[in-house]
Parts: sequence; structure tokens; C-alpha cells
Amino acid sequence: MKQTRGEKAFQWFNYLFLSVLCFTFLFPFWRIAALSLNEGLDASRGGINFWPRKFTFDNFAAVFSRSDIMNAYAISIGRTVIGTLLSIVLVSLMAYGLSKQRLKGRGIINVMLILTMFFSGGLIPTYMLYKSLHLLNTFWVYIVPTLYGAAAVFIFRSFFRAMPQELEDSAQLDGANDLTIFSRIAVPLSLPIFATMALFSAVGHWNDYLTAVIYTTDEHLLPLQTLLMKVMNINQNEAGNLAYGVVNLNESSRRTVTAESVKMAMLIVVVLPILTVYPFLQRYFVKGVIIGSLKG
Amino acid sequence: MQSVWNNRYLYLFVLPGVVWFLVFAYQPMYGVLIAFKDYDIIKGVFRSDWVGLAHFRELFGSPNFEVLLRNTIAISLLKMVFGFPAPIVLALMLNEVRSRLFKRLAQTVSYLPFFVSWVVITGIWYDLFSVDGGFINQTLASLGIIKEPIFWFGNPNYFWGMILASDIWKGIGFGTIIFLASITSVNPELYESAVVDGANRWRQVWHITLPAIRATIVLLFILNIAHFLDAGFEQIYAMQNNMVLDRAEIIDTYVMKVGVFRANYEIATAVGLFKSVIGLILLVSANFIVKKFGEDGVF
Repeated sequence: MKQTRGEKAFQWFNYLFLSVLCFTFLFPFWRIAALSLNEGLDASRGGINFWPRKFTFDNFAAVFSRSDIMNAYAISIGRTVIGTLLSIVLVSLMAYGLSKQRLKGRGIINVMLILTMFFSGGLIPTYMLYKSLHLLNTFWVYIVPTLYGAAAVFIFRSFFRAMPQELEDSAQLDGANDLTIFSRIAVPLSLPIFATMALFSAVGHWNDYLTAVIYTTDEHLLPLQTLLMKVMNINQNEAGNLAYGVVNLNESSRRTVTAESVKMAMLIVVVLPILTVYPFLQRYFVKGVIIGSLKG
Repeated sequence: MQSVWNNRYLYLFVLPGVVWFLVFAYQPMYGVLIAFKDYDIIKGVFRSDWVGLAHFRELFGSPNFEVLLRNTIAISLLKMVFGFPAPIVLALMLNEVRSRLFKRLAQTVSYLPFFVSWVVITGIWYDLFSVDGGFINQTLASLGIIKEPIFWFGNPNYFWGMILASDIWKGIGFGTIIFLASITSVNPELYESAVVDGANRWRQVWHITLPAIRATIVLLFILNIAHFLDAGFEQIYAMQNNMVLDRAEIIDTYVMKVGVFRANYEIATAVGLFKSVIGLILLVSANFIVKKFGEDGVF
């Protein structure tokens, strides 16, 4: 196909524009990484954008020497693993049940789920509910309220519906019950959607900072993101006005470490786990998003 | 009953979920009643005394409310007008890329900020836009565009712009997934016959691609409208600070501060309920209008 001059110009512009755009997505992360690997005092002179000038791991050593950060790490990992596993198991089971015609009362349950997508009680009634359930200031406030979600149920359901009925029928003839059919046939055939939903659930847990701000006051329950917010002193509202000295908390680290350089290292520490995982799961989640946004 | 017993596993699969939704989704809906009550912790929601619309009158009469509503609507409107079409434009541009490798690379890179929390994004943007040594101020100064560094996050005049820009930056790449998928499902014969008719690329986009993905656009737009008053709780709470509060306080952040931190449950619930009801009305009317124009609605 022959290209006109206008089309060629457009192609050039398109590649250029997209390259610049990609730069804006990458560079801010890159700059933080460079700063985190540079001596803090030296970095405060400015001018570090692409490469560290005085390379060091001291900032990371300072981050990991703080007991509150290790504790927050444990909370974050704990809630991500437990929350994701429980949620995926429960949601997929419910979706499997709802995907079968045999289940009477399906219609009512569907309506019940759909309504929750468009109307909710809001923050305060929710807060009061957690209070009466004694979920406030417990680890379980991170897990229990996020176990189910209507959208997740529907995404799983549409996946299970698309499975060939014959597989189930023949398994049933062999005497398998629904639990066996689910775990031996449905789950192995739906691994892509399990991977997608697990990724999103895990990302949601890992990135959540508001739950802790709203529902906890116990410092031992702070997940990494909420602690990061306090360390960075990002938000000086009621919940975040605890003065957090970053450096004076650990005498062990050298003098070259500054509050600023520790913040940069902590940003990297918080982001790294996700950045190493998502490119590998891209294939799956693209598929998952497409299924999820189709109706039904 | 026989069929229930035969399918007992299926019912067991679904049962915990039903209980969960009743407790965690429907109990708070019932709790909304305290917006109309003089809530007494000892009496509970059910037995507290009714006060009718008193809390709403107090709310609508307070000068705070005007600011809240203005900020929430302004930020939402900006996101809808500029934020919603952004991924569509990017998807159309990505679709014009001939090199498969470049396209995949660009997509992977553009998804990156989506997977990062608002706290981290705020940290990164604070660094990027900081007054001393921030990359943006540095660059603008070296290009001679500004003389004094600009206090991007501390100036109320820039706050909405910063919110909009960071929101688009975080979500644009990920938002393209669904549009790219519906673009690739367009029948290629349509383009071939358009080329025969002498249509250039612009006309192909305008007359084939856009109409083909119209249903997707409309559907996502309606779903967006339902959450119109959300404005972005996670983002704005992370990015707001006391210097810009006059532009940065939205309904959700206010509800949290007044309700949770100051334990003023009734007023906070009334604001929250106001927001939910407006959202529901917007959803239903958008759906109605869209159906009038012959598109598929959400329901």
C-alpha cells in the first residue's frame, strides 16, 4: 500500500508522540531509582536525573533496619497472600454455583449482587458495621470486608458458563460430585482467569492504604503503603499528623543517608514487587479485563 | 427438596457469599437510616429517634457543603471531559502503529503506573514537581520558561490540574485495553472497501473505527457516570494538603474526617447518602437517555 506524504508525516508524529509518552511513564520511576541508589547528602545537591553519582546501598540498609518497616512488610505480605487466596477460592466457588441452571434461586441472588454494584451504604454505616463486628483495629479488617465483590463473581461466572457441558456430564457419570468437578475440571480449565483475578486482588491488597487510615489506629497494623504515607509526610490530616523522623530512628546508618534518600529507597521497596510481576501476567490480565467489561 | 439435596454442594458454594453480601453490603444500606435519626449508640440504629430531614437541612445550609459540592463536581467533570476520551485517543494512536514490537513495548510501559498505589504516585509526583530540585521546575527554568520555581502542589490554582494530569497519567494506558480489543474486532473488509472508495486514514477512523467501538464507549461512559461523584477518594486524600484544602476537599474526604475522625455520624452519613442517591439518579437517567438514542444500556 502506497503512503501519501500526509500519512508518512502522521506515522512519524505518532511514533514520536508515543515514545515521549512512554518516557513520561518510565522516567519518574527511573529517577526515583537513581536517587535511591545515590548517597543522600550528595543527592541533596541536586542534578541527579538518570544515573546515581555516588553509588551506595546505604539507603536500602537504612530502610530495612527499621523495625516498623519490617513489621509493615509482614502485614502487607500477610494480607495480600491470605486475602487473595481466600477471596479467589470463595468467589470462584460462588460463581461456579451461580453458573449452573440447576441452582434454584439464581435469579434473586443475581439481582442481589447487581444492586450492590450501583448502591452502597457509604462509609459511615460501613464503619459502624465493622465497629459492631469488632473488626476495627484487627488484622481481619483487611481481609473479611474484601472477600467478595459482585464484579468478580460475574467475571468468574461468565468464564465457567463458557465451559463445555459435556465435560461435566461425563464426570458426573463417573460418579464425581460438584466439588470434584469444580476442583478437577473447572479450575484447571480456567487458570487464566484465576491468574488475572488473583493479580488484581493482590494488587488491590498491596496498594490499599485507606483501609488502615480509616479503620485502624494501632501502629502495628499499618501496612507498607500507609506507613509510607506517614514517612513521606504526604498527608497532614488527622490520621497522618504523627511526626515521623526518618533518619534519627536508626543510628546505625551512616551520615550520608538523609530523610529524602530514605524516602526514595522506600518508594522503590514498595513498588518493586509489583513491577517485577505484572509484565509476565500481561497476557492474562488483558484477557481478563476484556471479559470483565463485556456484559453479563 | 430432592433437587436441593442432589445439588447440595452447589448450594454450599453459594451460601457463604449470600451471607457475606447480606452482612457487608446490605447491612450498611440499612445503616443509612441514621441520616434520618438522632443516633444513639446505646439504642442502636433501629430504636434511635427519627428526626426527619433535620440533618439534611443542616448540611445543605452549611457553607462547607457548597465548597464540597463545587470541588467534587469540578474534579469529576474535568476527569469526564478530559480523562474519559484520553484512552480512546491513545488506543487509536496505538492502533496505527505498524511495528508489533514497538506496540507491545509501548503498551507494557503504559500499564506501569496503573499497578502502583496512589501513595507511591503521590511520592513520585511530589519529587518530580518539587520546588527545590524537582525535574519539572529544573527543566522549565533551564529552558527559560520560568524564573522562579513553581509550588505545583501547594498552589490552589494548580491543584485541579495536578489531580487531572496525574489521574490521566496513571490510568490512560490501562484504559486502552478494552478499546484496543474492540478496535481489533472490527471486520478488516470494511477498511479494504473504504480504501477502494478512496478513504484516507482519517476518514477510516472517523467512519469505520469510531462507529464500530461506539457501543463500548457508550457502555463505559454510563458506568462512569454512576460513579460521577466519586471524584477519586484514594487519589485526592493522598494528594491534598492543608494549603489547597479549599480546592481539595471532596465529599468522600469530608465524610471520612467528619464521620470517622470526629465521630459526627449523622451528618457524615447524610452527605454519603446524598452522594449515593445522586449517583443512582445519574446512572438511571444516563441509561434511559442512551436507550432513547437506540444504544444498549447497562440494564
